[in-house]
Amino acid sequence: MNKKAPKTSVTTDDYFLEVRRLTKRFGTFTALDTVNIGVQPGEFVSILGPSGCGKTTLLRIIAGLEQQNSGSVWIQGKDVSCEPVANRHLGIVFQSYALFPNISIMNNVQYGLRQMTAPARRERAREMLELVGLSDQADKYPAQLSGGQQQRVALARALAPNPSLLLLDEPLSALDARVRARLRGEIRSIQEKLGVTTIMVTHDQEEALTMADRIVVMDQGQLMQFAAPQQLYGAPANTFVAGFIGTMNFLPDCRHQSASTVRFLDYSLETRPAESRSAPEQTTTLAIRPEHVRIAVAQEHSSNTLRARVEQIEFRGSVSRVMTRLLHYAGHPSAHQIEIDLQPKAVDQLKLDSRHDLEIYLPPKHLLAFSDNSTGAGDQSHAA
Amino acid sequence: MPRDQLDGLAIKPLSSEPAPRQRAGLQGWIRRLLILLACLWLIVGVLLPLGEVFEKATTLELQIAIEEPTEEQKTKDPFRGEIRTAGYSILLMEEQGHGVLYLNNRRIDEDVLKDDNLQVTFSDGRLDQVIIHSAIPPGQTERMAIKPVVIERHADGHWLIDGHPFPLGNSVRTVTRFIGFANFMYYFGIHDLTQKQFAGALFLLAVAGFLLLRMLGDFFISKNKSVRTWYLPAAVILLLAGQVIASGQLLYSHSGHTNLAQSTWNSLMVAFTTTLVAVVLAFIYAYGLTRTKMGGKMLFRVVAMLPLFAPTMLYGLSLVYLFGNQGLVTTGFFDKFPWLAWDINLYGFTGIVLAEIAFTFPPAMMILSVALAHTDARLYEASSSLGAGRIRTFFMVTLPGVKYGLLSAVFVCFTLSFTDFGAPKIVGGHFNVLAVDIYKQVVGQQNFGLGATVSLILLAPTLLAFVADRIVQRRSHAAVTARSVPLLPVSLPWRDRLYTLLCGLIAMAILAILFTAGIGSFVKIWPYGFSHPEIYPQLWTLQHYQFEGVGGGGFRAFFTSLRMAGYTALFGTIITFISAYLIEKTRDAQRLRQSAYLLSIVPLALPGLVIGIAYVFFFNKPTFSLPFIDLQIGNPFTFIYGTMAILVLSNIVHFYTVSFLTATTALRQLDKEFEVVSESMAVPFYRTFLRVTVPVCFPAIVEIAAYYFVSAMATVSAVIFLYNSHLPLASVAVVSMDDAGDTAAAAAMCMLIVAVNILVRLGAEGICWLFAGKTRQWRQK
Repeated sequence: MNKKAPKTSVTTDDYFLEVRRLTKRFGTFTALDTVNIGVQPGEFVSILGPSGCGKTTLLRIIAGLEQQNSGSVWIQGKDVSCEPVANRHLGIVFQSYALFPNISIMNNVQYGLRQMTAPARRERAREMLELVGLSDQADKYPAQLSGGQQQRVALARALAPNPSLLLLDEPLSALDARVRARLRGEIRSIQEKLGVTTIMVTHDQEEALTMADRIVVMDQGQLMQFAAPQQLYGAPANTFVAGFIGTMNFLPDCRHQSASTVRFLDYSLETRPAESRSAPEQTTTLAIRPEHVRIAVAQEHSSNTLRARVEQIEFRGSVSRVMTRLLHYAGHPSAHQIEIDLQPKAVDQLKLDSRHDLEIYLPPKHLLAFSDNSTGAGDQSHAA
Repeated sequence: MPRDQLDGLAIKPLSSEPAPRQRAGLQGWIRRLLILLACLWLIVGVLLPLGEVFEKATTLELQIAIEEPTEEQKTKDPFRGEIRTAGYSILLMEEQGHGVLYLNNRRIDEDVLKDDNLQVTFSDGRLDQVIIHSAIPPGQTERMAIKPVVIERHADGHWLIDGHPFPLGNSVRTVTRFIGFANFMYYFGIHDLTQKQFAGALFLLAVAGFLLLRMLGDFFISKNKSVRTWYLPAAVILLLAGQVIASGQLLYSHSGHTNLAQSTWNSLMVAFTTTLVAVVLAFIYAYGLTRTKMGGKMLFRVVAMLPLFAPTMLYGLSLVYLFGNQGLVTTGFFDKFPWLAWDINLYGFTGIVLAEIAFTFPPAMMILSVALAHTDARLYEASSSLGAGRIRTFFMVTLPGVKYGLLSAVFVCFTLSFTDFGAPKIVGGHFNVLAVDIYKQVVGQQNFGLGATVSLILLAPTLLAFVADRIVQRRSHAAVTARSVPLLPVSLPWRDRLYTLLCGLIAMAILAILFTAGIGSFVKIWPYGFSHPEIYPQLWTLQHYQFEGVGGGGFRAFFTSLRMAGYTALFGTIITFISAYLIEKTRDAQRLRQSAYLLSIVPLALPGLVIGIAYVFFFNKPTFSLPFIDLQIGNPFTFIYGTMAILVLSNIVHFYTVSFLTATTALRQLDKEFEVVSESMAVPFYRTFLRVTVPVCFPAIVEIAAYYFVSAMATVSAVIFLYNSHLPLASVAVVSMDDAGDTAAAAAMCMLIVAVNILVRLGAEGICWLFAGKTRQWRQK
């Protein structure tokens, strides 16, 4: 890439971090396939995906720990692809904390502040420890702290040199569930207080959904969707995202009849209008979340109503999940299943139990349609 | 939705831009330079010297001496010049105004003398050209054909050898000729076979052997027999079968019995016997330590480690005191219990094997006790819940669980006993083994070509064992996982008592073989001080520790050894740890790091004698000829020959791999993100290295230093070729004092070495203990 180009090629966007057409191969295995991401200043972005999807590779390339095969990384409008790690002004926090075991907490936090004077260094370290709420632990050694405390020290150490970008590599995976839940909120509030742009890699979708402003969903080295959590959940871009975030019912092998009507088994279903026009007779996969499926009580809906048979009911506290098998119109069972989330009270009222036949209603505004040939890595095997 | 329209992307036309390369920065270049150095020193310290051994074994050095009289001498003397080479003397005399040529004192009248071996052109009373077609390798009797050496007179009166000008006046020059396997064929007494046939037959046998081994390995180790691992090699062997049998027959039918080749057989027999006995004993001992509840385990552990502190000559000396001609047992405790007298015919096979068992026992025991300790109790619970008995469990669970450790122990015992020099030198008698052969060829007969040949023969099985061990160990991952439950031995009175007895006997034998020589060193005149106290009233004495009137250098040798061991520990530890750090913990120059790693493993396969002889060749060589372009350049490393530096270097290389692996293991236990975190904070790598890596790995560093020191004190094999009278060494002094019959003084010197080594070991333990105390705070969990 031409070194003089940056000024002209960064035009309209005010991205803080930008990743352009990033490709990384390990031998014949493609870890990243032309990935593009733009991150706004102060944004908290989470990279989410199943293991082996390339999310850690993406983080390591942004950090400069790995060298991409092509593409570039831009930080604050500067191409840093050729800069070594030290020149990128990053704070990195790893899953393993990587605290220096033979150095006290105080000195661990001071470690990256070599250019300051000693008093300024101490002042800054104390400030950071206060920020993470560990000022009273300053003279201890890492091994004397709990896992959650150690991770907060690691965060303080990473933030002490005032990095322009904070990278978190699965920061909470080594902690137990309770500590993890508490630290989520703490990390997020510290990040908001300092306004530091943050990238976090995680395989835990709950972590990503609760912490991030926007989420990068990846699969097999490809960017699946980059959007806010609500959008990922409500309007997934493809079947992979739909199946990966939350639970989703899939109705595969549907045929389009018109722009918003499809044929599934021997039913005709109306869907939310698809953003991209699909040719008639093209196969489509429909998807709907369990909480959006309703029980049709008294023939109130004529269309979008399917017959189903209850197979199993799972009690999950606030909701009960009813597993049903779809029946053909004539009444014999099909190969498809639908999960429905109902209030436990409703289950009682309807007197649902196994082998109970009922009619379910799929509201058109919640019924998503995915054309089968534009979903990339999307795949029916992710059906819940 | 097409990917190009996703949120947050910058649309750019697809271009075939090159992969961006990260700028290295000063730090990166420093790291790369250091990694390069880590590679280079191993190339100079290991590969180049080894190459020199190979070259010496396959080339013949032919000395050409040309003597010409000065004008002044010509007036007084009829001598007009002489060329001596390859067993020929070509002499030109002036007789009655004519030049007359003599070949080996026989007058020649023809102008051109020509036969299979030599061609001499002589005209007008002038010697024009001598072409030599054959030569006798040193130490051998048969002439062999070589690429002709052309000695001719240039127009301006100079002599040219192979076209290169020969210096004027009296001088000697050496030319080398490639002779291929001639030395090997001579060694094994193979006659009437061309080199091509010899090499081909060897190659075929090697291929067949490799495939057969692989099949056997797969048969025993892996369960699934695939086409690649099983049927394909079988098919190849079947196809080659005829050829293979023919080559075996060819070699057999043309080989005659030589005394030389006998030592190969002897060495193999020693190694096999030692391995068998030592591994069985070590297994019993390790089993007792790890799987029973016998008492005094700590003591047993310490006793088993003691032989590591001694030079191998000590076991020989102790055996001499016990079973030698005047030995304690041989004479029936000095004729006090004549009915107990037992002569085991120590000198020879028996003595060597006994000493080698003591030598190989500690490492085998260590490997096996680690293997036996790493086990999963759940397997044993499963086995007993399925109703398997004790013996069945042993064969179905215990043995398979330690099979990699067992193989490793076998390879280590084999290699150590096959290549050891010290013990066979003392108790070998007329029983020749390869290691002693090399010494005799090089030091005794100055026959470097054959010395190099024997070195390579010594190296071959060692290399095989090394490669086999690497292959085996590669498969040995994850037998024990994080979820394994450690096996805690249960009390079982009869078994515990049995193992206490067995381990006690072994420990007694170890102590006897270590300290009988020690007792001997305090006895004024063995054995008469015991048997005839009336003639020799003074029994005990310290006089042998004064080293007066004995060779070898006495205390000067001891202190030189101390210095050498100190330097080895200091520089060895620094080089080893930094190299291991660079290879393990940096991200630059991946290829270079991989080669450095491979190079670091190689020294494990090199016997000390081979390192010693390789250094003699390499660091003595005045010039290199660069391959392909035949350019001669001066050897920049010769200056260390004959100095302390070469002794220290040889020791560092000799003990490098074990230290390197210790360092690597310690480094791998450190969080691999330390370096990345420091780098992201722009902290230089050397700061983190000094501030974090070194302190955290401190116990391992002390361990490495102690290992280097102890090994350098005790070793004799590499340094015996490299010491000189300015730098006498304690371990070499042991050999020379024993050679001279001063057994008690030799034993005394051994005892000094053992004492220093035990002190150093205790010191190292003390330092680690202090360190643990100081750092308790950050080590606690």
